[in-house]
Amino acid sequence: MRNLIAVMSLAVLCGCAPTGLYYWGDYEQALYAYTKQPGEIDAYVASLGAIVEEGEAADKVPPGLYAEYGFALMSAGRESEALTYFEKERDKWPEAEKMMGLMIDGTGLETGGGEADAAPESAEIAATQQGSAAE
Amino acid sequence: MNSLNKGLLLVLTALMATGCATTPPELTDYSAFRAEDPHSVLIVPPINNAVDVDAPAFYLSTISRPVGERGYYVFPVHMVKTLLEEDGLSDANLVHDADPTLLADLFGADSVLYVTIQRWDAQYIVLSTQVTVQFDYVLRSGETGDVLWEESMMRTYSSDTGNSGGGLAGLIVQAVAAAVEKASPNYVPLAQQANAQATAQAGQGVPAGKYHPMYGQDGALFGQAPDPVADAKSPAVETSAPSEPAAPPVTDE
Repeated sequence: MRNLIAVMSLAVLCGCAPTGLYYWGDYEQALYAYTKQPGEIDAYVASLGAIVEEGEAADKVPPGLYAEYGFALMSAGRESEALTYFEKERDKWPEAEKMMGLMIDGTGLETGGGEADAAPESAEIAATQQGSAAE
Repeated sequence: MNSLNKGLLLVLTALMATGCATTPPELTDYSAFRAEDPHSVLIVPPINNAVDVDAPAFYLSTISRPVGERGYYVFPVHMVKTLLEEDGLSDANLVHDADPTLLADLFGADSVLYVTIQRWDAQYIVLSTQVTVQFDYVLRSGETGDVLWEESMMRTYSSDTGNSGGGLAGLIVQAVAAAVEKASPNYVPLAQQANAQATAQAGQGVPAGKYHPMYGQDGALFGQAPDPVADAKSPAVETSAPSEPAAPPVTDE
């Protein structure tokens, strides 16, 4: 009996709408638009940033999203912010440890602490101080 | 059987009868998958066998969500693609030909998902446009390179509404709708449907991963030795599937 219920619950869950483990927002559209127009990096960064923000509010940030956001920030010349999100990815997902370790080494900015909660405000300031690197 | 169980069973039966669930036509062998128990999936850029050069970029944006929602850590697809390109692997065929264990080791991945786009096209047929996508999926072990899971999925959509009113006006409405669809076919929802069905369909999809609430509890549907209750004896499983992979065009909602 319990088996039957388990099987049927699963069938219902699988066959229908997404189960909604994570908040993806408009990830698909954002990635596609950016792939077609790589010059639109600022729009891509903004889209991913919004997903991260909403995802954190709901505690549903998808796997890989912090890393993708960090990589977008890096492409926009905002390395210190990128580092923050690479660290968040590493701290949230043990599976990402190797890849994020390489990316963090690549930025050459490692703080050594691995604190995942660097204030966004200070990151914003750091980006501003980097001037027009994002252009 | 207590009354709570009975009630739950009733609700589930009703849900299944509404056309959500599909009957697995055959049971996949999950022994290799279960033995490896991968927690992470490295999705590499797809090979494109379709004519549309935009297909891979569109496709790559659609595949992270369904795999992630099955409970797997999904490596960031755009970052992975860019890093591979910087490594001289900008051609998806080269990536697919590379040793999976080396690729997996590069990123620290448990498994590698290879997708081949077989179809991504829109055909104008009389007064409708038929949009078709078809994908082959192969998941390989990052440890041994062996195939852990494979699936093929086709989805078709037709712009023909079939009930746009009679007479000349109706024909014009249909022709306009078909022309619009032909000019700008909407592939993404179809690709998303194909991905969702390929990855989550009972008996054929990918078992629930580490981050899914059903992780380790779905052996009856994704195991090499299915529980007897999963057999066709159950009345619920008799509910026929509305969406065979090679089904004729879906004409309405």
